[in-house]
Amino acid sequence: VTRHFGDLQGLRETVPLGIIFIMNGAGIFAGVVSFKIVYLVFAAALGALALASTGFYRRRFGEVERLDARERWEPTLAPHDLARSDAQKRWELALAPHGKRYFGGIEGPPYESRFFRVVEGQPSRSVARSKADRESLIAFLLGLSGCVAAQALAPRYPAQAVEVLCIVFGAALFWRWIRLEMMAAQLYYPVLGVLLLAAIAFHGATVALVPALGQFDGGMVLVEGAWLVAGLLDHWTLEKVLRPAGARRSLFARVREDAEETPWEEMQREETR
Amino acid sequence: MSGTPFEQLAHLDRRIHEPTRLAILAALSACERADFLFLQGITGLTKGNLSSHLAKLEDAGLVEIEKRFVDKKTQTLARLSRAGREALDSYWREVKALRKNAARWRPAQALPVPAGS
Repeated sequence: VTRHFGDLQGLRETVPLGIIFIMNGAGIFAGVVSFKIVYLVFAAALGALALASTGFYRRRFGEVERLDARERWEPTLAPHDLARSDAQKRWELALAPHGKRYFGGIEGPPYESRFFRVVEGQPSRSVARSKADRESLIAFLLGLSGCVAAQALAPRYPAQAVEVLCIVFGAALFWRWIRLEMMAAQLYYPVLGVLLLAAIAFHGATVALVPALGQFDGGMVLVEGAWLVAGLLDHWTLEKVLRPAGARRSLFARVREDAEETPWEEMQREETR
Repeated sequence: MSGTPFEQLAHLDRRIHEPTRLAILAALSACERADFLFLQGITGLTKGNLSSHLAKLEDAGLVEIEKRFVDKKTQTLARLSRAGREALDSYWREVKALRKNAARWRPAQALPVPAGS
């Protein structure tokens, strides 16, 4: 949790990313309410989350400076960069020009990438700079290729576009789990990845069950669902570990009581006597 | 390190070999530095207890404490010092060796059989 404190702040990164997809898949609700109203509601939710989440995490759980602090250009997904502000007060964020365009109008493209200069203090002894850059680049290319391919396919082959989206973002969930060191506590990542891939493997049955999932917008909502759930579970992991209500706190409390009863210093004094 | 597992256990660094201090050091070893609130959350300690342990660790030169003002409030940041990181690495190596030794150890090697039994 300490090492991946930033990654596990689901409301700061993964949930906004999920909301982006549901915004772009908002057409699925077109028959029910106005597309623009739905879009605006999600955009407002996204903005509020982006603005509030960083402060929320800092106040609730404190701050942790990563061991592999470094300076780099980091590709981010729009508008997840706004949520990705700094927990350490030392980052510098610079909004790319098309970010303004995105927020300027509600008819933004489904996916945008931009680069941020991220300065995270002085490099420490164990900087795996090339590794971190490679990871960022792979995640970026993975997402970009999937979205571009899906976009290209969507007008003529909506079903194939949905497949591309699910395959790419299912794989991205696996990749994220690998980045989180394949911890059992984050097993929900591969599970959600499998669910996305299963939605493709059994596409016929899925569409028969929920016809909207056969459309591109439906695919967006499916991907969004997986990422949103992953983000919420990340948040829950932090809550569970850092705000222990039951067993874990009592375990530590017990250890502490034991330590208070027979601290090493007291034992040493006994021995000396 | 040599001797029985009990001797090895007795030679472990007492500054580190205490559950709460070990929890603090283990958390700090996974990051560059962390603030008081985070350490309190991850260890489940009270403010007073954590403060006292951090002071001990700072006195021992294992941890460096930095205080700064954020939004007119004092923020305490703790960082594992170079000596602290080395001491913790050494501690884990000793525990690993102890564990290996304990798995091989047989009571007959250390306890003399009482005469007449």
